[in-house]
Amino acid sequence: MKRTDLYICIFMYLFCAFFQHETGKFPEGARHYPYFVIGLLFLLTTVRLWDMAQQYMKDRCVVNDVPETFKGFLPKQFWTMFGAFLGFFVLMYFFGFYLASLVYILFCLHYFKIPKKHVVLVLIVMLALTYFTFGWFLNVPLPKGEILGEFL
Amino acid sequence: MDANTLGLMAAGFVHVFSLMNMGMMILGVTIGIVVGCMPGLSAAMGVALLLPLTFGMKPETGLIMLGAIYCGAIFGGSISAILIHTPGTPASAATAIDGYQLTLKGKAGKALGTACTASFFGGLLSCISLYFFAPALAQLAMKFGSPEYFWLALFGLTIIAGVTSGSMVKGLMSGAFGLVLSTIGMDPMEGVERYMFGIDALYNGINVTCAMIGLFSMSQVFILIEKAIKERGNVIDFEDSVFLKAKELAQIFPHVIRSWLIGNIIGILPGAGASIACFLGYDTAKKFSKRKDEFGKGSIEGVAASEAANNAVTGGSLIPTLTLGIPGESVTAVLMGGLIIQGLQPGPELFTKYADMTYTFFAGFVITQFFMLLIGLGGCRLFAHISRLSDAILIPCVFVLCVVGSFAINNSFVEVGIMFLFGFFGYLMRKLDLNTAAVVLALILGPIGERGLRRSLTLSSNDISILFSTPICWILIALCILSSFSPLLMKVLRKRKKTEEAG
Repeated sequence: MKRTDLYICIFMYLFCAFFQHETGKFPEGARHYPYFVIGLLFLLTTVRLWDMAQQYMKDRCVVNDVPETFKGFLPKQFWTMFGAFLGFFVLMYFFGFYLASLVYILFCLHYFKIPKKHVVLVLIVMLALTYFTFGWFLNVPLPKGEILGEFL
Repeated sequence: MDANTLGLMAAGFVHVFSLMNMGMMILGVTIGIVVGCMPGLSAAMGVALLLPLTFGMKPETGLIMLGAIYCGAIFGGSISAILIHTPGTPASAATAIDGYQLTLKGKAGKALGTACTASFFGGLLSCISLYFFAPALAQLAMKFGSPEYFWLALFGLTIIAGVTSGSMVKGLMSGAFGLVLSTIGMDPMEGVERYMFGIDALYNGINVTCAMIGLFSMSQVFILIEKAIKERGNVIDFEDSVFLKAKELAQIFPHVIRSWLIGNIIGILPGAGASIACFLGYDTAKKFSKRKDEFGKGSIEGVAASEAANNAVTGGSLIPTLTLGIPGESVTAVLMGGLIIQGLQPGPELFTKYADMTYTFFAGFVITQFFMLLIGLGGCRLFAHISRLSDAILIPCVFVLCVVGSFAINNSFVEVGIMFLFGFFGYLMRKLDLNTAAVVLALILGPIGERGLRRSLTLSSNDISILFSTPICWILIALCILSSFSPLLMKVLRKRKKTEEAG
C-alpha cells in the first residue's frame, strides 16, 4: 500500500463530502444527477481503498513513496517560481499585462542565469508576439491595470 | 460514396485554397514542429496553449490551424529524437532508437529526411480513412436519441480505463472527479445554480478551454520548475542530404504501408494513441524486414515505420472525435474543445448542416501534409537548433502564454484563476499517477451524458427502461462493458503470453 494512494483516497472522500453537503441545498429535482456522480466517485474511491487494504493485509506495511514521487524536487526553486506566478497576477491586476510580463520574464531569466543577450531577445519576441497576436490580430483588450489604466 | 459526398469533397478543396487557410496551415505546421521538437512540450500542450488563437477565425480556418499544429507536433518530436536522443513527444520514442544511431554514423540528414517523408505518407494515407469512415459513422450517429447519447458519453468515459497507463481504478476515479466538476454551473433542466459560490463566470460551467490549458500546459510548467534545469545535448551539425534516393524510398515503402494501417487502426480505437502506434509500427517492421540485423544500429526502415505509424494516427483519431464526440486521446480532446469554442457540436450535424466546413477542414488536413513535408525537409536544420532551447526560457514563455490565452477566452481574471488552479491540480495529478486526460474527457462528455440521461427520464416519466429500449443502446452498453474490462483482459493475455514464453 502506497502512502500517496492513501492521500488520494482521503482527498476524494473530503471532496465527495463537500459536494454532498452542498447538493443538499438544491431543490429535490436538481439533486439526483449530482448525487449519482458523487456516489460514483465515492464508490470508485472505496474500490481503490479496498484494493489497498488487501495489499496491506499481504505486505503488512505502508510504503512511503513520497520521496520517490518527488525525487529531484527543488523546493527553493519551485516555491520561488510559484511566488513569481502569484506576483505576476498581482502586477497584472494593478499595472497591466505588458509591464507584468516584462518584470516577470526579466525576473525568471535572471533567476535561471540566462545570458543578457538571450534575455533581451526573449523579451522582444514574447512582448511582440503577445501584442501582435492577441492585441492586434485577435483584438483582445489585455488588462491595462487598475493603477496604470487610470493614466492610459 | 454518393455524388453529394464527392461534390462536398471537391468543394472542400476549392474552399481550402484561400490565402488565410494556407497561411494558417504554414503557421500551424511551423508552430507544431517547434512545439514537438522541444522535449519539454507535448502535442496536447501545444494545441491547448494555442487554442485561443483560433477564437477570431472562421471555424474551418481555426480547425485547419489546430490540425496543422497536431500533425507538425507529432513529426517535430522526431527531430530531437534523432539529433539529441531525446524524443520531443512520446510518439517519437521508437524513432529515437534507430534515428540517433544514424546520427552517430553521420547520417542525421538521412534520418530526418526519412522521418519527414514517412510522416508525410503516414499522415496523407490516414486522410483516406477520414474521408471514408467518418461520414459512414456520422450516418449511424444520426439514429441516436437521448438514451443513446447517455450511453455514448458513458462509453467515452469508460475508455478512460483504457487510456490509463497505471491503475484502471485510478483512471476511472479521475474521470468521476471530472464528472463531479462538470456539474458546476447552471442545472440544464431545473435552472438552479450548482456550486457556483456567487461566481457569475461559472454560469455555463467550468470553461473547458481554461481547464485544458491548465491541465496540459500550466501543469507542464510546474513539472519544469520542480527540477534542476537540464542542459540539452549538443546538436550535431550534419552535411548529408535530407532527400531520399529512389532505392531508399522503395526500401521504406512496404513499412510505411504497414505502419499506416497499424497507425490508422490505433487512431480510430479510442484510448490508444501515437505513442503505442510508433512502437507497434517499429516492431512489425522489424519482424518483416529483410535487414533485421540493422534494427537498433541505425536502420532507415525503423525510423520510417515508427514515424509513418505515429502520423497515421492523426487522421484516424479524428474519426470518433468528429462523428461521435469521443476524443480518444488528449490531443483530440483539445481539438474537440476547439470545435466547441466555435459553437459546433461533434456529431452528424458536422456532416449535414456544417458539411462545407467539415470537408474544407478535411481538405486542409490533406494539404497540411504537403506543407509538413516542405517545411520539415527545408527547415530541419533550423528546428534542430530550436530543439536545444533551454527549459529556463520555456518556463516564463509558456506561463505568459497560458495566462494570456485563458484571459482571452472571456476577458476575465476568473478564467485565469481557473486555469492556474487546474494547472496546479494537473501537476499533482501527474505526480500521483492520476489521469488528466480523463478529467478533460469527463468535463466534455459529462454535460452530454447528463442531458441524455435527464431528457430520457423526462420523456419516459422516470421509467428507466427507456435506457435499454433500442438495439443501439445495447450495443453501446456492450461496448461500455468491453472497454471497462479491456485493461484487465489485456493483463490476463499478457500474463498468459509471458507464461507461454517462459514455458
